[in-house]
Parts: sequence; C-alpha cells; structure tokens
Amino acid sequence: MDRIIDTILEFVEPEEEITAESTLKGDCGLSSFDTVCLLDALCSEFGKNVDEISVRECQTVQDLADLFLD
Amino acid sequence: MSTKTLANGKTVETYPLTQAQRFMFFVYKQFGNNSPVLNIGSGYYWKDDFRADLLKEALEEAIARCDVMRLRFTLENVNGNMQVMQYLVDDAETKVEEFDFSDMPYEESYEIMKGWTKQLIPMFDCPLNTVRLIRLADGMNGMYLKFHHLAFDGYAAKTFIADVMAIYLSKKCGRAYPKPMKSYYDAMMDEFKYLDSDQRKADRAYWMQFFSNESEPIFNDYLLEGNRLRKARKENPEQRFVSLYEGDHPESRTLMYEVSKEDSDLIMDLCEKKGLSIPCVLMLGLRTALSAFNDNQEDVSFKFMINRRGSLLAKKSYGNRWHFYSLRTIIPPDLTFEQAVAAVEDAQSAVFKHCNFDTLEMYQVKHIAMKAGAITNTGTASYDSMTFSYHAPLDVPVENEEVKASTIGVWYNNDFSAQNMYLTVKHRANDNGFEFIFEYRTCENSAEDLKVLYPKIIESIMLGVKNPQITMGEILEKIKL
Repeated sequence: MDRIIDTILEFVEPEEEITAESTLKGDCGLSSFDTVCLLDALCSEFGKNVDEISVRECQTVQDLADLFLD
Repeated sequence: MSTKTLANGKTVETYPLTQAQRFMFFVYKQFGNNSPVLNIGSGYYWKDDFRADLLKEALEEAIARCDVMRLRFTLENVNGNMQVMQYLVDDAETKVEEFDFSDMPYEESYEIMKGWTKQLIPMFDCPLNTVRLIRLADGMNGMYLKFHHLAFDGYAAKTFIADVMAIYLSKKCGRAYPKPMKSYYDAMMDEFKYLDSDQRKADRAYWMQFFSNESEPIFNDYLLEGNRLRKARKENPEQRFVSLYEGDHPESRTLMYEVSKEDSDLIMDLCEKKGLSIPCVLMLGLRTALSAFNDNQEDVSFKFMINRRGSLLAKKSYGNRWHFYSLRTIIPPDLTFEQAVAAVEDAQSAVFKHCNFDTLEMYQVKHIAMKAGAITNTGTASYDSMTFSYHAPLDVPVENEEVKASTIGVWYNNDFSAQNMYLTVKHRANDNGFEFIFEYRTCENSAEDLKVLYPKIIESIMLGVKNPQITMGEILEKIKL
C-alpha cells in the first residue's frame, strides 16, 4: 500500500494524509489526466499491465491497490 | 545545447524551445501576424483589510521562487538557420510597481489594464513579464500580471496567483508558508529527454497507425448561414474538410457567458455523484451543439487543449506545456447521455496516453498517414472548426468566505487570436460557477454566430444533467434548430 500511496504523491499534494479509504478524485484530487499518468507510473512500478477502464472504475486508493497488489 | 555570453560578461547555456513552445511560436508566426497574440493579461482582486506592504513582499518572494521569471529568449544561428533559443539568467529583473485606480470607475481601470495587455512584449534578451500591485475602486485590491505565452500558460498563471496568495496569507494571517515550487529547468530537461526516448518512438508509431486506420473525419461548422463545408461541397460534394484562416487578420473579440451557480452546481454534483469528468461533460455539450448545427451529424471533431500537467514537477514548474489535439467522437443517437460522456472520456484518454508527442509533428504524421486527397498541404485545411479548453479550478487560498465572495479573476483580452474560434471554460473565483469565454477572429466570425451556439451547448448539457438516461437522439430533438 505504501508504494501505491508514494506513487500517488508524485502527482498530487492533498491537504489530508492519503489512506486506503481516500477517494481518488475527491480526497486525492486526481484529474482524468493525472489518472492516465498515474496508471502509467503504477504499471512501471509494479511491472504489471492494468487496463485503464479498470482504473477508471476505482473509487478509492484501496480499489487501486487491489488491481496492483493481488 | 550551446552557450551565450551576456552583456555582463557571464556565459549561460542556451536550449532550444520545447515542443509545446515550438508549436505556440509556429502558430504565432503563421497566424499571429506580429500581433500581441502571445500576451496573457490577468488580474486577481479581492476586498479585505488590505496590506499593500505584505502583498508587495509576497509578489517579490513569488517572483524569486519562480525560475521562469528569469527565463529569456534569444535568436541564435544554428547550422545557418536563425532559431529561437532560451536561457535562464540570475536575476529576474521584474520589479513590482504599484498603481492606484481607486478613484476611477472599474470600467476605466479595466480599459487601462487591457491597454497594458495589448502592448507588445519585446521577445529577445529581456524580461518577459509584468507584475503590478493594483488598487481598484470600492476597496478592491490585488494584482495585475502580464506573461509571455511561451513562458507561461493559463495554468502557470493561476499557479503563480495561488503561490502569491499563499505567501500573502502566511504573512497576514500566520498560515504555513507554502512548499517550494519546482524547477522549470528540470521540467524542460524532462521534455528534451522525451525527444530521444523509446516512448516518443512508440507514440509516433501509435499516431501513424491511428491515422492510417482512421476513416476520414468530417468538418462540423458552428456557423449556420455561412456553413463552410456546405459551401465547399457545392464544388466538391465529397469534401470533408475546410480551409480556415483565409483572411490573415488576427484581430479578435471575446464574448462571455456565465452559467448560474445553481446550474454549475448541478453539473458538478452529477459529475461527483457518477464519477464523470467535468471537461468531458462540457465537451459532450459542445459536440452535441455542433452535431445539431450539422444535420445531427454523429461524427464530430474539434481541437482540445491538453495542459499535460500530471506529475508535481509538471504542475509546479510553470512554463507552457499546452499541446493541442483533435478530439473525434462518433456517437449514435441511441446512447444515453451518461454513456456518451463515457465515450468522450474514452476518446480523451486515448489521446492523453500519447499526448506528449508534439503537436507539430503529430500534424505531419497525420498528413503522411492519411490518404492522398484527404488533406491539402496548405496548412490551413482542417476538420476542426474550433478549439476547446477547460481550466480546472485551482485552489487559490483565501482568507475567509467573505473575502472569497468578493474575489474576482479577470482575463484582459489582447484582442488578437491565432485561433479561428476558441472556447475556454473556466470557473469563477467567487462561487466556482462556469464561465464560457468565446474568443473569435472578427474576420471570419461574429458575435451573432455565438448567440445561437452557446444556448445549444448549455441546453444540451442541462438536459443530460437533469436526466442522465436521456438518449442523445432525444437531446438533439429537443435542441433542434
């Protein structure tokens, strides 16, 4: 989970600490463009290909982690 | 990279323009006709127990934290060709001057600052920016900023305002001093690294493949009476593009429409509730209106601006990162509004993934890949009648809700445009509601054209927002001309 959060923090500086329950758009403030760039970074970080439609369906950091950490 | 010796004897490294700067400069040379088209003028004003001394300090500190303020352009002979290069100097030389317009009507001070915006910025080997502390009538105070578009885009300008306000409020209210900004130099180096990267080769291959496989798009005009494709088709019934910029006159005007706070909130609430992208909802509104103007055409394209600010380095290093790509969507009438927003988002995401590929090169690839006859080589042929850009709200710190309610952000139009028709959607500073700003070249457009277009855009959006399951066919029926 820390690697997921650290990667998110390369893209945004939210006022509140990011947790697994943080929402990607609301709490983290990720835009559509951020999300496309984040997906690219996570795929490199975890050496895994995840399609963007799955990422777009993610609401929270935990949802995102489930895609990369299973 | 090469070097240049400055008047003070110091030698500095010079760098080529980035891809985004090259495109902006190309458009300026091609269609700007040596006008002040690259001047960005903006103002930010509010009513509080004003501390001019602290704002001046904040402006000076924000300038010192912003290395783009130290950016200069120069002309250099590169292999026999004069090229625009850029370099950084040690001292920004941007002085904060104070102007007091408190005893004159707002309209009068507006015209003065608009006049400042229209004054050409000397481009080579000198400071490019103007920063002024302003007192307006009715106790409104703030700042006037003028930037060169090769050094700042709209996002960068707003980032600068946010930094100034964070510093001002740290001094005035004891809030935490804002974190440091990022380095323009580092961001520029990142841009250059991309030029030799495998990613660029992959992006080029993607666009080559994309355009080779793509069917020919079709031009959708926002003009009703003077529909340019219908006119062109009298000579060639198969034609699908139009030549724009036939008159080399960059003079432009703007027309602004304000969406009410209530309607703006409805749009944003739906986006939050359904996880929809705000710009995609707005772009769906635009493409639906264009469809209605062109016999309910399902295949609609327009250019859209991508500010390419994903990483914190890109977000906090100022500069100009804008790339312009065509957004093409084919939306059948049986799709619901919600499904159509998703279709726009799919198209947008596909472009986002490959949008670091520079715009000028992309057009060359498009010309190579598309079959002969599809595009003329005049450089003015287009399938996109207009350009769209969305400026997301950027959190500018405010002292309290009362001060926020008084705050206004002003864009001083320079009355020139290198684009034929440019729709920018922004958020108001005081209540976050939408502003639709149409900037149009007067030689090819009139305000009358927009008085039909805008209501159709907003009507189609509100129909979908109030009933996301309505089909696009039903929306087109309700907004039909």
